[in-house]
Amino acid sequence: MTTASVADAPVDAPAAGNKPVRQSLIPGSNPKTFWIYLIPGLALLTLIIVVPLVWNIYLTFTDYRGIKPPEWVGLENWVKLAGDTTFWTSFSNSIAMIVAMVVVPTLLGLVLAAMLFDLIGKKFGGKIASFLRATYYLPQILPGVVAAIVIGWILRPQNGALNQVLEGIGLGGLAQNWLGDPDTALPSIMVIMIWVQLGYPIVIFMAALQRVDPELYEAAELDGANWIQRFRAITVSIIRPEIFVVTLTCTIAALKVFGPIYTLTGGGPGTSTIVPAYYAYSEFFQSQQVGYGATIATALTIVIAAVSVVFLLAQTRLERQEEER
Amino acid sequence: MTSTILDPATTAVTGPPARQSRKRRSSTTRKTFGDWMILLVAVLIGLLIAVPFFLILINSFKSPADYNAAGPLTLPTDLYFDGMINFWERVNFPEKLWNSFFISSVVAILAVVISLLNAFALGIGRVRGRTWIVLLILLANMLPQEVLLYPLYFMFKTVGLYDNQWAVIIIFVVIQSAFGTYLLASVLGTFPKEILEAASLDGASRWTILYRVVYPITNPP
Repeated sequence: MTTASVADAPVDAPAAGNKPVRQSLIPGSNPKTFWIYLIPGLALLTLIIVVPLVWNIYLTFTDYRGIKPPEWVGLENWVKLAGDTTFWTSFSNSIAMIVAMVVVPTLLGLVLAAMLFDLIGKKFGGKIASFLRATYYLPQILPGVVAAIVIGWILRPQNGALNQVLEGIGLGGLAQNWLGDPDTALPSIMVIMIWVQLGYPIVIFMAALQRVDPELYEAAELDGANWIQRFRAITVSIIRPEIFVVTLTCTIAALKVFGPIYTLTGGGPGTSTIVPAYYAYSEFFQSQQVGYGATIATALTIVIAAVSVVFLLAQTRLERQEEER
Repeated sequence: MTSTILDPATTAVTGPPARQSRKRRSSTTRKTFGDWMILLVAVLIGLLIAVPFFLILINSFKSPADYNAAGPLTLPTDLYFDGMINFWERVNFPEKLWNSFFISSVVAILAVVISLLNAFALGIGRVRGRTWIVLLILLANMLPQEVLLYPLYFMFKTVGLYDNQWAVIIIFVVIQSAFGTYLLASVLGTFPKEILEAASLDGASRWTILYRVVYPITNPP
């Protein structure tokens, strides 16, 4: 499931004796002639992705308000960005988003998937395990924005369900303006994102666990390994590819998160829940500082691309080590 | 008698498969207190996750007066459908549903076509530098979409596609086909070579191979 696997696909048997000839899978046709099939895809990609990206990079060196033509200002936006506390706040909030959308769901998802598969599935039957899995997956079927609206309504300060529950059980003192208070806004959003994300790793990990040979567990059990030891030595090591895929896709999603922030808090109160994607959006469309918005968006792109490349390299290296062993 | 020999319970003494299934059977029945506690925890987590959905469901059938009087936590006193009917008519829901249906169908079809063409060149054609091409295509997934906002807004406005479904369709085709290309290119990279050889010996052109061989085999029945 990595990009590397595209390249690692079975290599053509080298032509006997002489140097390996580059060959497509169809005998007698030169790979070069296959470019024609890439034309529609790459043309669309250029139009929708590459041109805007290059344009965006150009805009980072300009002062542009959306009306008068962009004015070249050199590195001014980048210098401003480096000293912009809102920008750095947005990135530290991104770390909170990574905790809520990657770290907690992946760890909790691992434990829950192993628990459902290994204990509940075996002792109480597969039906109960699949039913619970479907329940955990429920928030994932909602569009992110809708999920956020639902939770926003539950967290409302007046008449909100959460505050009513707290009052009902005699903890009225804990009732809060959950999303309106700078102290609780970010933690509330983190809890919401855990709720949204949790189902995804569980479903992927449970599918991966089908690969695990039950005899491995039995052998470990006979050797006296307890559940935690079996979990670490067998479960985690066998489903490592899926752990990588889940972590990478969730990290990209966490860095890009926009919808829930847009619907729930608009980055506020103050800048307590601002994230880079929302900050870029507000500079683009609310302050009409297009050049600066482009700078924030480009910085975010660089971070995401770097994270993805590091992930993929680490994964390829681990896979190679695994093969050598 | 064959049936007795195959019955795992009676032949438990021999053969690993028999032993295994017997063991599993016994562990299905023996449930300790701890097992029940784990089930309880799992069910509680499930309930916690599902609570917002229950709340939405019970409140969508409440009249505003009922909601104001009793709050969001009680069951509705009587079933109130006006909210749903009003919503349906005010936002012209059938129109919205049709838009969703139309856009997603067109995107799905076009994205699969583009992905298949790309993957044919990358996976079967083995075009040079394909890893980098896949990475370039995956950029569509990695970019924060805000990067695209302003340029695309401007571009579509210039060509007169602003406020038009086709602008949305084109953008989504590109983004969706990025993942499709990635997945299909890895799959087609392992396409059985013999079939392709046989087809080309029979004189099939590459388009014919794509359309009559690769597409039907990749397409789930």
